[in-house]
Amino acid sequence: MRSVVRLLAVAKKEMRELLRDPITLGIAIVLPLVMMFLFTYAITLDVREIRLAVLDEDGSPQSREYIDSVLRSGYFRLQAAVRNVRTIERLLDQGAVRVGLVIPAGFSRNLDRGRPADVQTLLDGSFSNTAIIASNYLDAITEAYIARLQERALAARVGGVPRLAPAVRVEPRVLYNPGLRSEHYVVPGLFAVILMAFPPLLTALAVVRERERGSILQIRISPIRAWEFLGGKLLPYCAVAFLEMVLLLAAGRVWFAAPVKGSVTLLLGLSVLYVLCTVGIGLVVSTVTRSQVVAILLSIVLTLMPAFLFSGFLFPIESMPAVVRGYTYVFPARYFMDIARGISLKGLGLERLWPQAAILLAYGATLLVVASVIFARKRD
Amino acid sequence: MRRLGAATRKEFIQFFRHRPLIVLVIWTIAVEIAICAYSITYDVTHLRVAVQDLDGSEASRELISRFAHTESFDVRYRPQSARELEALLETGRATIGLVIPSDFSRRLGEGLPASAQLLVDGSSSNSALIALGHATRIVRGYAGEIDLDRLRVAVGDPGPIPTLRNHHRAWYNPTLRSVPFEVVAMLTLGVMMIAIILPAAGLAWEKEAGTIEQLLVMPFRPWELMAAKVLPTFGVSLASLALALWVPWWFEVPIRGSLPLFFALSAVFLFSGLGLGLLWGTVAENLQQALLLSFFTLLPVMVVSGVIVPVESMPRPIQLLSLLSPLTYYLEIGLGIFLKGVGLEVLWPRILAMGGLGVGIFALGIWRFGRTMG
Repeated sequence: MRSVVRLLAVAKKEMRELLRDPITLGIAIVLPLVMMFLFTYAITLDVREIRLAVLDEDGSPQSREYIDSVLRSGYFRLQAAVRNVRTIERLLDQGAVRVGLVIPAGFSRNLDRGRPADVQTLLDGSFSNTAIIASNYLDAITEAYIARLQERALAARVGGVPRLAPAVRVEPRVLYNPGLRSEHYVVPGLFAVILMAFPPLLTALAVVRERERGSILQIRISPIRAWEFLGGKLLPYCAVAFLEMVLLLAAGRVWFAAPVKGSVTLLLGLSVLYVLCTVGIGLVVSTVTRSQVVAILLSIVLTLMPAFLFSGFLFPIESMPAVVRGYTYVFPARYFMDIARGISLKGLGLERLWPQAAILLAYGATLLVVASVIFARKRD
Repeated sequence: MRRLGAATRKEFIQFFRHRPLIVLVIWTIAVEIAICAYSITYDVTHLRVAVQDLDGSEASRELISRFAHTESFDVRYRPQSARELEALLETGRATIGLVIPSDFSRRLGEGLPASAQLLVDGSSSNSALIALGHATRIVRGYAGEIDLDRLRVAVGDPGPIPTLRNHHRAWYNPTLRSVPFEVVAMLTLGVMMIAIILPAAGLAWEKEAGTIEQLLVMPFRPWELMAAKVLPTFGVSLASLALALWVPWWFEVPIRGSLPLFFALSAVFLFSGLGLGLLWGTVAENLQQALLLSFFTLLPVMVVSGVIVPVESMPRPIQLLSLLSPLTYYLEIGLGIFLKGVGLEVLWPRILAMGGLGVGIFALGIWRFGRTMG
């Protein structure tokens, strides 16, 4: 009972300190929302309007038809129609276009004679992602063009072949996000990333600040125990982080109409566990370090970057090398990513998500124990 | 000049007293870059496929083997029921499901259109779309061969059929590795991060510790104080950039252009970062605020500059924002020098834009600094 009283006293003091600095609190609450808007708008599912330069040396109806089918796909924007390859080279060098399409002379002659015609695509490989996506698009467009071409040629040759249905029809079905709307998966992903970004930054300074100021000595000589002190430090930041989560959830639903198919209560409940982990990492960092700048930098390395890079938010974990795949299990973000997307998009309940929830609980508890032990042993 | 020297020396001493800080700075910009370069890719490879083969015929096995033989997919699971397949997709153990119905080979044999169902987990990421594209193409390719065979049977040999070959050639990076882009992007980001955080933190630190008053009563002019705050960061940023060059070397990212030019332009770029750092250092009252404000700028700048997703695919208003971000130009310059081997003759418009922004932001920082410290 005494412990609780002491813990709450620390919490009250920390809360007061937090409230006395409205700028910090304001940033801590506004910044996540700004991030959400920027990310959700900026991150779109597919790459569009890739800048394209075209060199049509053939100048025939066929070559124009092919170029037309590329442009009509909507994935490319014609930036320049050029006269020679040199110009494409220069435009690629400048970064003015990302893709150059060259249709050599003889293109239509080859096609008319039923021979394979060649076109060449020049890609700016320095922007490798754009290049890969662009070459995929071009392959698909070319395939469709070939199909039309051959059908026409055969019809002319044999005098109207009855159109054969393709041997195998593909029936694609996108589950959980049928419209493949990017905001529907970016928003729940951001819950995991943003809660890992800002709350630890705040908490990382909680203990080390007192150490830099010297007020930690007063704590040391008071009858408070390590875990009571740290628990008290933790509470206000947990509250702020939870508030962030509620705001993000509300903004996601109201502004972006991102669905939560499962239970909102469950999502909020499990987010408490996650908040415990994120704030807990900040606390451990804070007990270990001796200066505030170091604490901040260390918490960036441990929280923000992994949450962003190794949680499956944008970059598929399956495609990473095995060592890095193992590395992703070290950080709690990937577990909450499963939870947030599972509840929001798949409508999952605890019966599927209990392993992730259990890991988060154990993770958070371990962090608190570790922080307490370090704090109790460390000399100031 | 002597005063400037003294003030600069003080800043250096203060900086090097935090040895863990130095280690961390190097860690952040070098090791994280390495991990990123090693692992971060939008290329979709080794996606886990769950195959439910209800037909179990030679034809269906042939189709499945086409999935197994690509880099994109790993045929990992063979669920026995629709429920099992659903569970695999729900728990995220499989990203894509292929269901071959029981009449697949029978319909193929009778010349009727057979079907294959592809189930994609749309919640995982944009990989869903790319995966669907790859998978569709595999099935189409398989079907196309059967189509052509059938046609031969139906009309005899139709003679040569026109076709089109699109030869891709990727310049600067023939195998289209994503490593070079990631390495250069992370290098530029690291430089920006240090340039903003160090001066902002340094100034706010002095404010919090109360030593700023002592500096102000000393016979320093404001510009000397400012230069002393900025110069060490300037040096440290360029030095850590030089240290971080082991990463491109390690990952065999070519440096085709002039390295001195890259350093010179990095120095130009640093003005915008340092300007922002000074600005936030004067605005913030304590270290926490300074660092939060630094992030307030760093993250959005990173998002709009094309480091994460290409600028072209963003909505128009955000594309306009990206024109205001110095990092957009610095990234393009970095890629230009490292991979394309171009120089001033090509890069000058971007250098002008970046320099203009840098001078503007830096002037803003100095102006704030002069007002608050003067």
